Amino acid sequence: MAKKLVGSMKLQVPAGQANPSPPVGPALGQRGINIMEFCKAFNAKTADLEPGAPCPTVITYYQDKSFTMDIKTPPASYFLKKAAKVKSGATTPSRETVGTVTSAQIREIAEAKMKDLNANDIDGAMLIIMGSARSMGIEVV
Amino acid sequence: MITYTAITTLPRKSQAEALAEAMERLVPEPTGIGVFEIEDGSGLWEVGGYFVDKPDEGALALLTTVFDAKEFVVSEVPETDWVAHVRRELSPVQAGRFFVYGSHDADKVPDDVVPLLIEAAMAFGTGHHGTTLGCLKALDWLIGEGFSAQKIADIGCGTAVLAMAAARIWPETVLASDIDRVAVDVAVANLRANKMDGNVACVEAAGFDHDDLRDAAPYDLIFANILKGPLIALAPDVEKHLRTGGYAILSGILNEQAADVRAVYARSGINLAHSEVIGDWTTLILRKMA
Repeated sequence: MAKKLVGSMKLQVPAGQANPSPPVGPALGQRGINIMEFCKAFNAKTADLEPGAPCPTVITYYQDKSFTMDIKTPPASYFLKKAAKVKSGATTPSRETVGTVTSAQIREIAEAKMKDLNANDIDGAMLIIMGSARSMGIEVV
Repeated sequence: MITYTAITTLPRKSQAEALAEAMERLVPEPTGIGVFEIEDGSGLWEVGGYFVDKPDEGALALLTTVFDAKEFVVSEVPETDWVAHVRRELSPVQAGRFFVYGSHDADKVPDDVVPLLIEAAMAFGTGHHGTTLGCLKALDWLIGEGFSAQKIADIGCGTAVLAMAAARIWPETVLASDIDRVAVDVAVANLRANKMDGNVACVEAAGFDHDDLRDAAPYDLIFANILKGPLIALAPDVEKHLRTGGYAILSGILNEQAADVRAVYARSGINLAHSEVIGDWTTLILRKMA
């Protein structure tokens, strides 16, 4: 059918746990987008992910209030904090190390993030994840 | 729970998208960022951030300078029943005898209408847009003219609202197709919700490019609510698969594009019988002459 795009938004939505509370409720509600249909579809699509993992989700909506969603993998920082068992990254990463991760964990994260990374192969993806680790004060051992 | 929004406007989409990307790095970080076209003819784009913690107004001011945006307006978003709010906006749509409604309005269906249950979800065709509304009104007009159809195709079906509307009147099997797999899945769910999965068959296909669609031709009625370009590209196939005396209901055409589409179909002997204009959109009802 004839789709006229009106806008798009990117929300951090917890896997399997979308509900009408912020940010989903106000972001979609203020645009008149069917919140319950979004939550139902999002929760079904993320049912196999770890519950609560933050998923950046791009929602594009059209003039008749229909919408599409593109669910990305959780951010690298989420995976790294989990692997290093830390709550947050370093405030001064160049001078402070808050935790460590192994190369095997970096590979696992790279594999999980591969579809959303601008990398040709797993080695390139691992380099990107190692860069993220450094910027958070997490050392790769 | 009180949350916050920070909203600004910019003149260009590319600028708005760049600002939205920069906002992702704010501390406290936004839980959501949106880029929206302001539909008032101004050509402006709105960028809005949603925050659980009050945003840093100094950082926002810096962004307005860097991206040449208007000053951010930071507001508290009071706790609201957003589901109820949306349901009020997604009101039922009536087009002639057809009544399109979401499940939240199931108790509002009048007795003397043809009901169509469609949730506003991941496929186009909720009845809230001038193109879908135009097609339903066009179908209503055809029925009023005494037209009757046995073979019907809905090309680019979206939610399958048009296929279902036709099948409610003429309960022979209607064939529907969409190029988008998600739309086909939504259409199939809608058919079940309306208990019409025995009346409408839906396949994933570009135009008529599917054996089921080709084998069932010629059709008495073809719907195609797509856009001007694809409609023009589809003209030879419509001519091939429409029986003489049959009708095509075409939509997704801006008012200023209608003459071009009409001219292309007229060259194939498919001529204007009637049209519906709703807002910026024209729906053409064309008839294939002998």
